[in-house]
Amino acid sequence: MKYSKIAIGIILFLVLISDRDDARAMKEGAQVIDQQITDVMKKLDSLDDRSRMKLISQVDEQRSELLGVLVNYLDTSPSKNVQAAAIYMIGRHRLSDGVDELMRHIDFQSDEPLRGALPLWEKFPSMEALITIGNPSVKPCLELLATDENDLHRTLAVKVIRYVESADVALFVLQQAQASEKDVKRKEMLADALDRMQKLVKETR
Amino acid sequence: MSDSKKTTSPSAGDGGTPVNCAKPPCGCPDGKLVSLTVKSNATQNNVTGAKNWATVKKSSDDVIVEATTNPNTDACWQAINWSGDTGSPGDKPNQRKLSRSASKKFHVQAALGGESDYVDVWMLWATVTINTSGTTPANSVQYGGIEDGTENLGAVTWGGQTNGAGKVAPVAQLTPNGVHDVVKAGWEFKRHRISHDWIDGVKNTAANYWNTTWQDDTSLPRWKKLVPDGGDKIYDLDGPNIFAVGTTDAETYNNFKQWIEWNGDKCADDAQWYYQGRWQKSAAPQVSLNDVGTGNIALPDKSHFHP
Repeated sequence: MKYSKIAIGIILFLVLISDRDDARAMKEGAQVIDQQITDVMKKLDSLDDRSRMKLISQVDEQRSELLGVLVNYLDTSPSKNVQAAAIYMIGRHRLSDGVDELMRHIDFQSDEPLRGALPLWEKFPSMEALITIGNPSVKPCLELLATDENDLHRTLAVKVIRYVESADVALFVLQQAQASEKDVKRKEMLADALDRMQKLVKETR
Repeated sequence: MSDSKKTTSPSAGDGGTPVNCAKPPCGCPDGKLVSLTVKSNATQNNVTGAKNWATVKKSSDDVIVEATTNPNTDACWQAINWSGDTGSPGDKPNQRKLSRSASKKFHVQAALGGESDYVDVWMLWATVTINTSGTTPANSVQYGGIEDGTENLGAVTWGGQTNGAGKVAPVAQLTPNGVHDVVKAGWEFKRHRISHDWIDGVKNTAANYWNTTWQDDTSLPRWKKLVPDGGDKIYDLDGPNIFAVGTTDAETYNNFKQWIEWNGDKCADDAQWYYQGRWQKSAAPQVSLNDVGTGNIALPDKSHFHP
């Protein structure tokens, strides 16, 4: 049985129904996932070590395939909702191999935030996804801050570092990056980023 | 033990037919306990451990614990030695009734013929607290970069008071103590709301934000921590807000109530809170009312900006 295909199918199913408030469909989807996991877990003890490890390793294949599918939707879907959902799921599943894609879409803006209970994502879902992924997002954000002059990109990258780390660590990270930078232009850009970070930390501590 | 000092089996007098004899188990010389289990009104669904059972606190429908003996006869049932939290006698001598009226853990043990067995029955309850000050609890989901970008609870504004929100951290303390080791799943943090919203003076009925009855407003899973932590707590998060949703102005008045369910059964009293906010494009600051607190408020029937 191709568990990875099943998992991808489930994810796609969830993406496709994400625009609808279809509680029944969601419940049925969850039941399918439950059944698949149960099937795999039951099978584990009947396998030899190598087969067991191979079966368990399918989770890595699934993550890789899932990222591929989500990036494809992010790049090709005409729907902002589907794109935002793809970004959200890359973050939620902490698919760290997708950090570069998220950086590329760091200024992607979702539709107006919903009224009511806290939503799954706000205005800049890529920024939120990068924060959720955590540490692997920091280095690419530092690189952006050393090279990208776009004001919005810089604001969002500073926010990623601020919320991946604690306020003090975020400041330290930027101070270190700026102090150790040899290239004059990059050093200036990082000094600007440090200034932005100091302001943000002051506002949000 | 002399004949003149007859022994009454432990269950006699509070359940089955009293049996007097010289040496218990009377009428069950070779009887042994086979097992002890819960017959009704508690479940092992979403409960960890073969001996653990759970149910929600309730004033009726006692939990019935039942022993099986070999032979499974009335005489052997009479001879069962009950110990621990034995509750009250059941309809049969091999049964005990455990009251669900208080949140506590019952450890019930039965023994016969050198064999013994036990069950632990957890009567579950939760007390919900709506935190509207301080910061987000460490074990809760964190707000991160959303809204004002802080973990401060209560009424917050940002963007030069163009946006406001009432940030709350509802926390449920589960009981009995130690329940986190046994009941790790099946919890839900529920929320209902009634809203009276106006956008540019028009009731916001289209988006179902002008209500006369409670509406489901339960948080999305990403904002909840429903696996109890080491302190037997589960967590929710919410932050209703006010911002530029109208052309000229917007107002929102909301009452909320939150409670816990376990396996679909209500497992807490309601904890109430409210949020109200007003935004006006031409005003300075734009957010003129931004108020969150515990309890419910009288929701206005008329728009403040367009009375």
